Amino acid sequence: MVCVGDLVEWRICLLFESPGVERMLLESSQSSEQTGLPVLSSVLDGEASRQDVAQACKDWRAQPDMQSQWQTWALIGDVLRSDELASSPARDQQFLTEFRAKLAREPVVFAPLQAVPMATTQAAARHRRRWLAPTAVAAGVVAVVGALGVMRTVGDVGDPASAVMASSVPASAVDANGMVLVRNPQLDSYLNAHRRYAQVPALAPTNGLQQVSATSNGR
Amino acid sequence: MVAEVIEALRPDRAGAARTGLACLWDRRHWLGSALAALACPLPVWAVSPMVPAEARAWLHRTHEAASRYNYQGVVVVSASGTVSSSRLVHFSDGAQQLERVEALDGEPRSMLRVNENMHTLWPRPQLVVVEQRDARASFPSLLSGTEPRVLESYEMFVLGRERFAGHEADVVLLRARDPWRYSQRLWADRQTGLLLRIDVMNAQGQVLESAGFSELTIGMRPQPELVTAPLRRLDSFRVIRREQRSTSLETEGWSLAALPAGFRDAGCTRRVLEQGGSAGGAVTVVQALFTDGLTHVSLFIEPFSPQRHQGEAAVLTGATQTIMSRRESDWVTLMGDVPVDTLRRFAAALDRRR
Repeated sequence: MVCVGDLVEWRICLLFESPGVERMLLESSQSSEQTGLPVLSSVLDGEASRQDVAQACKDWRAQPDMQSQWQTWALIGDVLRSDELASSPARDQQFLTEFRAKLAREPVVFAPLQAVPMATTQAAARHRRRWLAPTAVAAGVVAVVGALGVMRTVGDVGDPASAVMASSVPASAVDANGMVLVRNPQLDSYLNAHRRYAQVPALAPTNGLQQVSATSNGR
Repeated sequence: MVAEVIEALRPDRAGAARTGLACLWDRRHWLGSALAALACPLPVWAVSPMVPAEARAWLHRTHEAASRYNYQGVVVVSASGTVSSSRLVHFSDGAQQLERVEALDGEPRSMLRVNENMHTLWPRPQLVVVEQRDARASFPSLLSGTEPRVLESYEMFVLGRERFAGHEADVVLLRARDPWRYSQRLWADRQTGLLLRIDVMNAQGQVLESAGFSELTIGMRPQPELVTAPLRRLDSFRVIRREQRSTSLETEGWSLAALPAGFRDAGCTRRVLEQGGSAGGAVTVVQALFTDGLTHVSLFIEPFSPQRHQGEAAVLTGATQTIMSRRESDWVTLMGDVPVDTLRRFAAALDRRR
């Protein structure tokens, strides 16, 4: 189990490219030689296949070590991203409880499917990609907030269903072919070339609009 | 009023509405269609089909108007809840077509066109991309204006008259005859025939993408210097010329079996694709075009590169569908304002010959 203090130190190491990083990484990997952990790691990186995600969720439910490891990794990610995120689990738990209560009171909103990817802005998608790739993208802001909460308090929460939601992709973000939504900046250039002949103004929008794509392998 | 319109659109009601608009929409979606109809304040009883000669004349007039008149205005494009706009100025003196389009959002860029020669200016990186461009297909020009076979794939209806962008407009519907394409609703200025707005709609009558003028002046005094003056001040700009060379799928070692109904080959070029807007990187692709007279599909083929190409993908942006996949050592991208199944048909028909 890594605490916030360790992580801050790790982050400083990273900043100064100190050899301490390797030491900490080594320690971290030595303590995680549990079955399913490599899979869990790829789930976190958004590189796991659907079967692996399902298996990881099953293992996670049965193995307290895995739950704790998940929390640690999530915390590592948070600390690396921002000091503000490096808060105590109790605060997250409180946030999540309040968020769930608020969500339960919200009316159900019906919206067209294609509007879903638009909910994540380009910058936000880029920011989250490394750690939340399959989850955050296209799930919309609300689902992302939920997933963050779930990811970071997973060790304290006794409801694996919500963790499944966090680590696999929410149904609304998957199209009819079960594809996962990710960002694809290359699309712009194809669109520009295509629209030379399309009935869209010559400088039709590319920013923000063409930045989200769907892939079947979660990359 | 609302109740009447919904009632008129009910599929179990016989009458004028059924022969026209209501047929466009699936029976199961009559409520959705009624809502779509409410968004467009056109009387549904005004719907009547056009005879082919009339329809062709209408399309031709609209197509011609885009190059014949001087006009300027702001064009707004909305798709998937995103809105963007650009300022457009067009002059014509019979011999020359001059056009200037400035993007009002995103990275500053403007497009200056003198006949087929197009300069795209990126002021921040001081970059100008020079290329040849077929102006026939960009809004407000209408590709179908010169396509005699467009009515084989679409049926044309007069929806009525409406005031749009400060002009009295005729509104028509080009209804897709099969599920391989989308329907389009067009607004054209009554006096000149200039296209004011295009809506692309799916089979349920939902508008997927809309492009149109928000304000427009037709027939102002020509000021060609608006286009030519910036072209004389490019000394500090880095110039990139994008040449394209005609080729064919066969020459490139590919074959395409049966095309989806109504589509036909509209040319194939080997061209350079700008990467990341003004960033300047580039990759060479083969782009084959297919059109049904109103819309078109692009097929891009390039060597597979693990750095550039991610997994198989299907993307919807506004009305534009994209599917991408790997074919052994190549990467194939299909893109078009058509349903995704149409693109899949293209993909299935594509074959590597060597």
